[in-house]
Amino acid sequence: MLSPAALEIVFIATALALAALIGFRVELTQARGGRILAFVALFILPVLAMGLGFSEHMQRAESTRFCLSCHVMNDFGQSLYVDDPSYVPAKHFQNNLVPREHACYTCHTDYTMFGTMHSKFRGLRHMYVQYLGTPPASADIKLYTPFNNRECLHCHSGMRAFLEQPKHNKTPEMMAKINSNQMSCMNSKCHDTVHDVGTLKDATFWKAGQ
Amino acid sequence: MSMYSRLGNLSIERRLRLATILICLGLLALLLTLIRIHPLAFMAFILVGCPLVAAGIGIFLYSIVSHAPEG
Repeated sequence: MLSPAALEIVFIATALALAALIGFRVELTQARGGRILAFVALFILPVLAMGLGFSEHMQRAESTRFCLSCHVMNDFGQSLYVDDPSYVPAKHFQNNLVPREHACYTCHTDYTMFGTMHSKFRGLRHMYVQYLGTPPASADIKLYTPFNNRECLHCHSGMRAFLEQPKHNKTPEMMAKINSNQMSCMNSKCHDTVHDVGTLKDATFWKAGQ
Repeated sequence: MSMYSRLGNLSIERRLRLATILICLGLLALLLTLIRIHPLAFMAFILVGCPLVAAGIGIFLYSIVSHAPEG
């Protein structure tokens, strides 16, 4: 069974072959059937090819492989294999608490092309810096805005272990503050070890998973 | 001379051929961008493949609406 990406490639190749046929045999369009073929080959199939291609690229952009394809992201990918459960992303990744193929996107749902127009322009700027500028050291890369609890609550909201965790209920209003993002999961000295790529040189890694 | 009048001076066969060339180049670019999973592939899709295909489609549609049937 062909994968969706392979089907997309076959579809575009077919559209290309039909368009080329019209290009080489323009006289076909003198007949009614040829004109219909030209309309299909030069309008319907190319429009569908662009739509399917865009959809495929958007799906690929959610993949961990896509996010880690730039060299500057290597350390962030490496941090997913740290052999220390206090590293929140590593714990989630290694225990399949997030899908490994979409690990980055699962927790960074509003990043670059998936965020606001402002985020999309920031994504373009990342490309510019990566290829035409001087990329920063991995340890110097920070989020533009503090991590939003919404990303954690996509999964943890309503989860019994989360709701009944005594540390989440130290005060009566604590849960409400967590849910409204007034108290950050990451910056409240609770789950503050995240990627921490600056510490990777001293870390040990889960070799079996790599 | 504007692009439309230059296009208008071409015969419908030449316009169709031009549309075909642009669409084929665009589709080829779309195909190539699917080979790799990389931000540059996405940018090439958006900035090269889609504009070429869209230009070809535009010329094709212009050709068929501007072509006066004989007789």
